[in-house]
Amino acid sequence: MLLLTMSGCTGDSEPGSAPSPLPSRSVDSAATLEAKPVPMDVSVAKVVGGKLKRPQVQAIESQVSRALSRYFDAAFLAGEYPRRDFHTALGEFSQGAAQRAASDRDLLTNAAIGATTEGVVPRTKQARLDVLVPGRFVAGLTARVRLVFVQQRTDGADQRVTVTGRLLMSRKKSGPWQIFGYDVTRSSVPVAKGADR
Amino acid sequence: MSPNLLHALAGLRRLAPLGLVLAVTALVVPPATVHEDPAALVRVERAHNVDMTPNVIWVLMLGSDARPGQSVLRSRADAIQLVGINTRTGAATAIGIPRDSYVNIPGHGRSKINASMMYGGPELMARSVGDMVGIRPDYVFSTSFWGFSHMVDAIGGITVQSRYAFSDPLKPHGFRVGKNHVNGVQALVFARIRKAFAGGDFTRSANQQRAMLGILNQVRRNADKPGFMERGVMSVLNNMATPNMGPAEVYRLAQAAARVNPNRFRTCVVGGSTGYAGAASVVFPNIGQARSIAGRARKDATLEGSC
Repeated sequence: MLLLTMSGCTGDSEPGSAPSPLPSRSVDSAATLEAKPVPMDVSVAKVVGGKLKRPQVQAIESQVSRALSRYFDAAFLAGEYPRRDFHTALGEFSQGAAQRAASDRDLLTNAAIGATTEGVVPRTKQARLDVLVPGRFVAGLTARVRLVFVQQRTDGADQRVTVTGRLLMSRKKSGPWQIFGYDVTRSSVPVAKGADR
Repeated sequence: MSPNLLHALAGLRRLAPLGLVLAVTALVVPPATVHEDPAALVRVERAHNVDMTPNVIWVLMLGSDARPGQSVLRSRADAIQLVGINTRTGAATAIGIPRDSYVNIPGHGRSKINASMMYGGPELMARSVGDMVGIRPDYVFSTSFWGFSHMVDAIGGITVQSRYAFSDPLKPHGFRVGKNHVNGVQALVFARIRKAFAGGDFTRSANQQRAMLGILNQVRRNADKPGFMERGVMSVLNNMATPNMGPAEVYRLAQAAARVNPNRFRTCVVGGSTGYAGAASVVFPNIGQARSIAGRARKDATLEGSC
């Protein structure tokens, strides 16, 4: 059985190519009370197994976009910096996943850098979804994500932080999408002086 | 499914088919990641985990000799592997059980362990294995050999490490010692053949474990490719019976299984002596060894020391 032939593809775009609007730096306040208005770019890339009608695709994209936006905001982008409280950062994770993620909080949130950060400027928020549809219903999906933001440090040595990888998601009937697993990397590079943050 | 059977199944958390583990043992889960490509020397940190309760799950993976039209849940199991997976640490232990092991089958007296499937389906098979080694599986996966072949093809073939060189018409240049990249049918040959080896059933069981490791390596190498895990799970759903287990749960289990680190995948084959029970050629398994292995690995699926 050549299952590969069963795979549908609604797009093959990859995270990382589209430039995001550049938010202007706050000069009157170091705090980012809300996430800067960088749009969340979510689209279904592959549908494996069955087929999805366009309204179904749009519904998945919308629902997952909301869940990922809440996670990105709670864990990285929103809140008042310098920030020490990240206890709600993993609210979009399943209970078990959140427990397991406790030891990875420094990577999955800004907990490790929040106290030395005066602001966070989002640059890219993207996700491409690979959806498993074995029958009439979606069984789960992989969100291949890419989040880029600039960490404005209190010492002025700003960093460009990139979080990429896979978030594994499922939902209970009529419930919200939850992250039940993750496989992500995080890296940061200095922002050159004079460069646009 | 009758109420009695449903009741019997209650002792198993779930029943489902082997290919998955196959898929499982990767299938079982993942080092692949989407890496940033910074120009400077940059520290890239990585984290991965999957929500699965309990942390350690034991899966009985069965390769059935069911022919087309026959149920894989009611045919003899020719491949019998009990696999423990620690979804928190990524460790795993596979205990290979020779199919001709002559053991007590609950309610049926002494017989070859692989007859348990015919007598009472996967739930009785799980009880027989559980009684033999001392670990009752949480899940049972069963697939036909052709289903196994299809699943291997679905992930692009696998690489197996052979201890012996041997020939087979389905692999033109034969199997050589060391690495062999094989497609689904060739993987099936590798996992089934036994008469070519002095070790017979024991060597075959070890080769099945090498095939599982090959699947695990293939899954981990490709887990971050778009749609790869979804295609693998779809193949499992198409080629394995998964009673009492919905697709969403199979998907989660597969993702958890893919967390197994190939470097922490330990394997043992239960030893024993060959002989006859009446006219039947059987294996008298070393029950003490089987329980020793299981006893050491039960809690964390981690096996220290030798088999």
